[in-house]
Amino acid sequence: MLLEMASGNFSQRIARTDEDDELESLTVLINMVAEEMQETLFPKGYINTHHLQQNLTSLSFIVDEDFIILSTIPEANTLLNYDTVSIEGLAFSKLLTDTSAQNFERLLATILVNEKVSTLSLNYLTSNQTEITSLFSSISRISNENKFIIHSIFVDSLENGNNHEDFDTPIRLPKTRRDDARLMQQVYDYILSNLENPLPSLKELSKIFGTNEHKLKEAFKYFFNTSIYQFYNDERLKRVHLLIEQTNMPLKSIAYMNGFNTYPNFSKAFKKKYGYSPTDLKRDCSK
Amino acid sequence: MNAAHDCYENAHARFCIVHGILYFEYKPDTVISLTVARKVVSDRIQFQNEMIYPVLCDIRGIKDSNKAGRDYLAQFGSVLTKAVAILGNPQVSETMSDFYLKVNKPTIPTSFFTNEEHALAFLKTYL
Repeated sequence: MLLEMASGNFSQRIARTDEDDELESLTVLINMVAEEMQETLFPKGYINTHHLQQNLTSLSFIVDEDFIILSTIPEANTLLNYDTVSIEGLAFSKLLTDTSAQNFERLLATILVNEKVSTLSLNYLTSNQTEITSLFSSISRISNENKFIIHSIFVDSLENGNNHEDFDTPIRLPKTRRDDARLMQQVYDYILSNLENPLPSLKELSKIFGTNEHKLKEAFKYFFNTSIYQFYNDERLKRVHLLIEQTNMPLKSIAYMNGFNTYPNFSKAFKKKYGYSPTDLKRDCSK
Repeated sequence: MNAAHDCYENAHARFCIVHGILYFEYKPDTVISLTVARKVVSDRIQFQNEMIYPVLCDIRGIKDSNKAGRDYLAQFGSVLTKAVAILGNPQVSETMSDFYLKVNKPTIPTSFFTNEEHALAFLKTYL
């Protein structure tokens, strides 16, 4: 029952018995909570994107061409436990873990000539030697200056209470929308578990899920704010990035293993998303 | 060919490859956060040296986990694996495993076992 609720299904109820004990009262309570949540908290028919949506914090650094930190924000104090004065003048890679610093150094040459934004994965080390992983980091040149700005977004895992001001005033959605949610969740999960294959066409997908192409396209976009193809592409590129960074597997194998039919398509898509090419990431990897 | 017992250890887990199966054992009192999940996946991938294996994952050492860690494992923990057999005790381990299977939805065949022989039998079908 609780498992059903956690995965977004608030319509299940535990069967009642005639017992009148603690267990039964718990049953009643859970059923009532499920009903409340179904009606008020998640009018969209809760979808689970399998990532955290709330409680994010971010850090920014302005660095010079040698990647020495020129300035930062007070958040660096709370998150990394350095006071901002002692950070300024430090080489940026000193804030990272050893492996992360190595990856960063490897990409520096490419970043220096890159016109566009580069996305990276960075792991920071606080002054008390705790590791913090950033969910997303980017670095880009500041126009007309010999400086770069580095942004990192983190999951704020400190106790934060419940931020219910995030929820809009609940609008009661029609039943059809809630049914759509369940179907879209299935489509979402199907795509995630089939990233190693090329994406089936909209026609094939609509056959598999018993709906029409228009509904598939529109509902997916409504719930997940992205198109089916874009989602598929983003997720497999994330996997590819992990594999390139962490293994010595040949790039061609990685590409084919993740649903890319030709190497040039793969390289192009990778560069478009991350701002650097797969070979840039892989270059100088110790063999 | 790999030696019969080819092993590696990091701060959170011990892994060995024996007869084509990757044995993965979490150390006691491990809490799976995003950082731990990343490290564990990264070390495992490097240890596997580009080969794909079925994995036996002993979770009896896991004390707790958070959503970020579980989501990361569900997405990337299956990279370079064929199937995963989760080995644990009938109470807490089983509940955690049920939750993970139902809510985080790992992307490759994954099942829970309380008995190592059954777990291995499941994995052998993926060899």
